[in-house]
Amino acid sequence: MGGPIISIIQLSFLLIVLVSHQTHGEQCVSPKVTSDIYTTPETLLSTETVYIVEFTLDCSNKPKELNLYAKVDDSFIQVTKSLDNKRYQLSWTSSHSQAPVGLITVDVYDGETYGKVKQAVRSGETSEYEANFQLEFNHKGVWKGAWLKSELLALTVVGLVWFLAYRHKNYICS
Amino acid sequence: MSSGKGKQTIITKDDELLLQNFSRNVTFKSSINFYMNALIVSVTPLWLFWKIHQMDPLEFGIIWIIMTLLSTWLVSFAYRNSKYVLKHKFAQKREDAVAREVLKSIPDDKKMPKKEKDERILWKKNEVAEFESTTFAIFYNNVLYIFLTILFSFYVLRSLNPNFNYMLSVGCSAGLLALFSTGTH
Repeated sequence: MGGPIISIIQLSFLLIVLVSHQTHGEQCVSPKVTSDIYTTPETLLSTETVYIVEFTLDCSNKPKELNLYAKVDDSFIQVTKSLDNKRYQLSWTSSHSQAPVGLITVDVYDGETYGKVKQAVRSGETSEYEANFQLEFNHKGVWKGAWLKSELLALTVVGLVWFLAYRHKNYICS
Repeated sequence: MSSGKGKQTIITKDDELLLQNFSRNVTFKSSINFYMNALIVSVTPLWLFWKIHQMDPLEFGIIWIIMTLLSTWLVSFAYRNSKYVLKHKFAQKREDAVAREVLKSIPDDKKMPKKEKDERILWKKNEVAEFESTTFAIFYNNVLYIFLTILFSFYVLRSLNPNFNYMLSVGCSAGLLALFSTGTH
């Protein structure tokens, strides 16, 4: 009698563990990251600063389905991944005036750690969980355009020449 | 001078020359000069609109040709008017200097009647006034045209699409140039 009940309990426990893994994915052990970065260089052709980080992740445990979550501006963004699960891409935007400049560090969590963080937030715990790895890159800032625009310079020069010609014309006609 | 016998007034060659000098009409050579300069200055904004406003020459070629021809005509009209006003003023300003130069060029030992001296001075004065007024009219109107085109295309009409921007900025610049040239000063 006890046997089937115990096995049902064990089976239920196993199912709960499996479901929780499915919800948040596997974990990454000893991550090694190689990344490519793009950030908006100037404001003339863009209304906001865009950050795009593409990276490959090498985990020693070789997870098959790894979901990643990045912490950007105190909120979590799910990192998109390619169909072959080899490349990941993280992107977000910020207004030009508020976009951080210089060395930027982004904490990235795997599914398991992210689940723990969410649970802690829901239960009101103050304990902080360390990120699985960090993405670091440098954003030089955005170029806002030349302080003296070329059309203003051209207009000023031509305007000056015209003014001198106008003065000479007035002298001739006087 | 002219001899008025009865009702007929005969105009001599001297009168004809005098009338031509003070007429608003220009010679054929001068007209060609004006149209060529007007064409060059009218074509200049096309480069601006092609490279900076990204207008495709094949797509907008017909509009460009029409507006260039219109602008050429208006700018040469402005040249003619400006030259007419300026010629008299230049003649007055340069009168003394030209007279001094002509008299200086006549050898002392050569006896020349006063009438011939006056004619030489008048001819030289006309030549100098013609050259200076033509050159200055072209220079002044070109500078004003470029100034107005830059002002209209990059500031006043910057929010319009490039096609209307081109048509209005070139049309308004050439039109204003023609309008200003009709003034008496």
